Amino acid sequence: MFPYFDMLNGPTYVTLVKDFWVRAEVYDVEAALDEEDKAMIRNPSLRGKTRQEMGLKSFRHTEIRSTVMGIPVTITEQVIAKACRVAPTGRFLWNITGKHPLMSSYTSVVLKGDSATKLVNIDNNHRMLLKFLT
Amino acid sequence: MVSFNKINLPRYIMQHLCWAIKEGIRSKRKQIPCGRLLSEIFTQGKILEILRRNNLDSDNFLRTRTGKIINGKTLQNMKIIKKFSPNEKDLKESTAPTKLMKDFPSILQERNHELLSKLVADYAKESSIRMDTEAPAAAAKVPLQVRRKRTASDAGSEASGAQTKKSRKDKSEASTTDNTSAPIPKRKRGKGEAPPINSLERLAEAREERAKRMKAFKEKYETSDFVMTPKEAKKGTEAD
Repeated sequence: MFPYFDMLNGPTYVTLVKDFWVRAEVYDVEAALDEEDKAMIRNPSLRGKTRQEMGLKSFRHTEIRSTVMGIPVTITEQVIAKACRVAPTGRFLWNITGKHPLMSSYTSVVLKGDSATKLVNIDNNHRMLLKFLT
Repeated sequence: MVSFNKINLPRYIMQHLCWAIKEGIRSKRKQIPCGRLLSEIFTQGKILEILRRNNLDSDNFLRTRTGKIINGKTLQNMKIIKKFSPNEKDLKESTAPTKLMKDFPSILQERNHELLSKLVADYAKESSIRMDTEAPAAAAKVPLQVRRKRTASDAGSEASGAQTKKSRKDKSEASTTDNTSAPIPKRKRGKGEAPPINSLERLAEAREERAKRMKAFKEKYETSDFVMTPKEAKKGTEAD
């Protein structure tokens, strides 16, 4: 993880970041399906056919598409992994509910078994991790 | 982290960026996350190199900033240590761009350098940025005319989603039809060639079909998300 923290100590180009952000669009499964729907609306005979047969590019992975100073750019998970200098492997959990087994682990490990534990009372290591994340 | 297992950091960052973009379109969220990471991607992705060729790489123009460093002062403020004594050897904020990686995946959709330079020049012209080759710093004096921030109701913004694009397309279509005096009927989802969804049954059917396609799509193209087993959850609980 040290190369990642080394990377964080560097310049931020506000103009480029803002220019990228105002035009950013997410190309995910939903966007790909919308693309297929539009193709089917234009030509109903394409219903049930593959993306290639519809004349669309095959969907590989979620992308963020935008332009920076007029240059079209695409950001993927691989690009982020390379920029962070970390491998794109490991565990990933998203949208977990309160009933998830992880939540009980969180309460017992981080909050010392009491969900009402205040931030100042949690372990220093966990406070530092929280500081890094925020 | 709670279960002391390695996490997929790039995927979390990607997911958070996607969420923030969608949230920015849906609501009035204005915060931009991962500014430093995006800047690093632009550096490694050779965007800066293209700007340098067009004399648009001055710090004033790019508005180069550095973030704060978490150091002993932070620990003192957090009451983790009592006294902080700074040293000359302490890490300092750096404005130097990182070295280019040889195996960095390309982020550019277009590889032709001449065309890219032309795109930047056109953009600078549109945004009234002065391209003075004799005095590169001159460009920095002219502020970049960043387009309006997008909002959910922003009909004129380019980044306000597919609906806006469609309406803009419709408008452009309408303007061309005025010139050619050959009216083209506007295409709408659920009308025209596609069978209209005019009943609740058909709506439910369409939703069901979409859900099936979504599931098949995810199975085909996306790796499955990690699901914690009870054994691993117990391991995490016992780790305390």
